[in-house]
Amino acid sequence: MYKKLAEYITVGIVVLLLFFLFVTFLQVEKIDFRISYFFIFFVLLILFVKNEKTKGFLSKSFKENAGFLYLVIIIFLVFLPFPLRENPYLIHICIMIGLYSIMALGLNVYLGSFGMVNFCFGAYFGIGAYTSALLATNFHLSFWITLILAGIGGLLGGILVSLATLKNKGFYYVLVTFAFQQVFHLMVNNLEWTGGPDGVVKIPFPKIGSYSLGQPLNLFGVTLPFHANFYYLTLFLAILSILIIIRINTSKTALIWNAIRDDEIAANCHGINIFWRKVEVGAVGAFFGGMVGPLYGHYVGYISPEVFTWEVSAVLLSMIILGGINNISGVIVGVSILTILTEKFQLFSNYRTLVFGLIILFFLIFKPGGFIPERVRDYKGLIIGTKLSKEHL
Amino acid sequence: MSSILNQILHGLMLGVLYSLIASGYTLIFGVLNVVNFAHGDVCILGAFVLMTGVLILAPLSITLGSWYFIPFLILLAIAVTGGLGVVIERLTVKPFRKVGHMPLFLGSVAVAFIIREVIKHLYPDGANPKQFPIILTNLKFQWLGMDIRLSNLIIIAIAAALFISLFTFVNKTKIGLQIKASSEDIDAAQMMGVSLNKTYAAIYFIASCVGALAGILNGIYFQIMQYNMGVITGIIGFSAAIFGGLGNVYGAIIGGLILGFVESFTVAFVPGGTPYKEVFAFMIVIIFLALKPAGILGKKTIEKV
Repeated sequence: MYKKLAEYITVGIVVLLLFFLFVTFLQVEKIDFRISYFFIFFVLLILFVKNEKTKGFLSKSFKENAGFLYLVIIIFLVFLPFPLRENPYLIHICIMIGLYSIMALGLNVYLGSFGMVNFCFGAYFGIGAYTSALLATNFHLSFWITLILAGIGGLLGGILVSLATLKNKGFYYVLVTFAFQQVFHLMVNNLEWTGGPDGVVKIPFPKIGSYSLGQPLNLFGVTLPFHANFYYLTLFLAILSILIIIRINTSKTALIWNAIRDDEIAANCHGINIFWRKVEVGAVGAFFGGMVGPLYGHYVGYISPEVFTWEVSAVLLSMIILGGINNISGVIVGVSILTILTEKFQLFSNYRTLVFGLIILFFLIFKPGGFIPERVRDYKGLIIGTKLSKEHL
Repeated sequence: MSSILNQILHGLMLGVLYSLIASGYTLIFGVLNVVNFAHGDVCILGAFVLMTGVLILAPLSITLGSWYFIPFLILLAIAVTGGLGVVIERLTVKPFRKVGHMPLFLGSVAVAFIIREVIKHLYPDGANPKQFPIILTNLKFQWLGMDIRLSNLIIIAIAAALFISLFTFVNKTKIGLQIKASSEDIDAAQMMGVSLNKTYAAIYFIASCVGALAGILNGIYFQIMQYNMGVITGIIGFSAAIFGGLGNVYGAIIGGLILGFVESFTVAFVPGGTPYKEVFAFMIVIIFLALKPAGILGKKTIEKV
């Protein structure tokens, strides 16, 4: 009883500490005393990891109370805008982390689960954003309808690319995705009804009933800037996406994808229909890309073709490689680190492509798994759909 | 009529330039089964090395101004870029030889970023388009209503000479034969005493040299250079190589010429098609790859494990 309580408290304190550091890291503008928090944190971390007893206790309490851990994290995420309300730009950074997380999870379906490098993720993103923006400005459709339509638009784009690449793999696949990305960019940039190089402007804010997401949010007697609305919307969709991805990753579908990734011919010999699976992967990954489009467009208020280039895929690739390929928490860690670095440090953002290139190269050579490498599937107590008790294995 | 003839000439020039870039991709893929995604940027880098040389030596050229000045600079740029190709091989191919294709590819993507950004930040005012120095003649004349620049003819001559010397190099010299042997059976070649490290380095060196020359000729033809031209250049060259059949140098020539003519004919015959010329080229590549994935001269293969 007391042991369980101690474990709960440990998990709570560690998560609280991490969030405290996260908020501090967001708020630090120049070198001041708050830097010392990070120093203290690292000293504590080293002390804990060196000591076998505390290390065992920590890993045990995190492993056995996963549900409680996620609950605590979600509670902290819900309350995150409160300490940041003085500076809306910091909430903006958090929103961007959410948007990039959803996209990176979508790209990870290609890269991690299926082992294909996809370079047209910017096009899926753009298809979603343009679908929603054009429908909202020309036909005054509600955001919630266009959100779903944008996801479906991205999904159709993904299916189109997959159908065009049924016979291709490896470098040929990369080339076709790159060509598709260029075609999309050039078309959007030159067609008249998409607004050409100017893009679409004056995209309306989403509305729930008569409440517009563009007005400040009153929560528990505290007034938050309007960014908080979008923060909660993004948080909700990000958690939904993570749940969907977890569901896919623990299902037979992802197992089949991984089998194709590891050995296409062997998978084919076992009766897996590779063509159909390719279309499936294309559709699932692209749906997440398309879904982020309207979130971005309606939040920023305008979209232009410059946003939807192949660099979206490049940025996402470096985030995934930094964090850990095919590991959900790894991907989110990678996204958070790189988004904060690029959004926060102006000097850094001038050289960001250079740094992304160096990061990809460094991690590929020295740490191919990223910060949090992919976990090997654990079938203890789980055999495709039926839960077995521990005694069976 | 004369505009159509001009467009045909333009298409021929584009085709020659594309096939030069494509041959770099094809050389590397033919032996290593690797696509060096940074090749487009290597080409542009070659041009920028030359421009840097001109920039540094321009004040001296009054005193140095003799006939060997420009060829010397071109050779220097080619050699520097070739050396860089070896560095790229050591960084992106050697560590991943046994890992698989994806890290190899991602590594070269990263190198492409790095090259692009280095040009942007190190070359003076590198973010803006740069005028390429006129290193060949600026002479123009008219023939059958076509505006012909003398430099265009020189470009075609250089390209033809390069292709011929490439064929002789691969078929006659010792290193060329080693490369050829490795492309047929890499294990058997190793057993016969071919050094893998040396062969790989040699391939990257030659491919990057060809790329640098292609970049310089690109600069001479378009007379303008920008740090991020490598993306489009590389993708078009890669498309041309795949279109003709990766690993086949004749395929690279054919693919490059077809893509060049598609672009120029789009401008000539499709009303309002000028902004969409690359769209047409890419659409043809996508459709073609969907129907015949191995390319025009490629053979159908199922990869073994």
